Amino acid sequence: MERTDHKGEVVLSVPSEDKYIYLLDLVISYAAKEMGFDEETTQQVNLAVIEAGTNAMKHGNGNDPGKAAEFRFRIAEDKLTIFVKDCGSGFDLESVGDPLSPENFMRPCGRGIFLMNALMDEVEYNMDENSGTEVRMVKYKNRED
Amino acid sequence: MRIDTRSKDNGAILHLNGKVIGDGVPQLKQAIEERINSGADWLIIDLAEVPLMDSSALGTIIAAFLKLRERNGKLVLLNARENILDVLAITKLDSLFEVYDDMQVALESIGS
Repeated sequence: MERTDHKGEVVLSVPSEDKYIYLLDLVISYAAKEMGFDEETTQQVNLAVIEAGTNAMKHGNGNDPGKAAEFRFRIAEDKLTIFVKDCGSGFDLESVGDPLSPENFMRPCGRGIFLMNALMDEVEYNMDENSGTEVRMVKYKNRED
Repeated sequence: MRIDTRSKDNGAILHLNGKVIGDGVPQLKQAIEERINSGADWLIIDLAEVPLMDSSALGTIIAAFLKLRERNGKLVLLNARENILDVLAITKLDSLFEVYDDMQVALESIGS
């Protein structure tokens, strides 16, 4: 793990294995504390990043420990921006089903992206066949509701 | 994550302790499947000591709920914290799961 204090940015690169989610959890807690987020907001960010990290490791990198999932936590006065990057070529956002629809409601999977969108203020994807997929998520400090 | 399981009558109470994320999810899945495969008709999942649970963990609980329902069994949640209740509300799963904050009431709901 490399920390770049001068930019207020924490960078974490981990092998695509479930056990590293716990390390991610620790870093999120640190970033949320630096931001001064309350407990509720901290848990929202925590869950959103864990969902993004799990997607990156599982779907982007196929749970291949040889492929790294990369996380950047950019801490600013007014917002926390998190970048999650994998080695995958991306996916069709339109094809992601709505977990609230009757046909998907009882499915055990398919709620990760929905939760990320619900819990964060901004979520956007940058997909590139050559350089991988990156999701950028933002939580603002003064939009705690 | 630690799971303490207590068998009772024809069911079991699973007390989870810790965040149910990462490799804690397959651990939960195994614990639930062991109980269902050994014939449990109902499960109470006690979340009092669970500060965070991801969507994969939710999926594991949904799968168990459906399996038990197929055999006219039941799965209920106990002592879910506010943030987990929020996630259940966001995903509308609060309309699927019964959530209790009292063990005795939870036991009565499954008829034990």
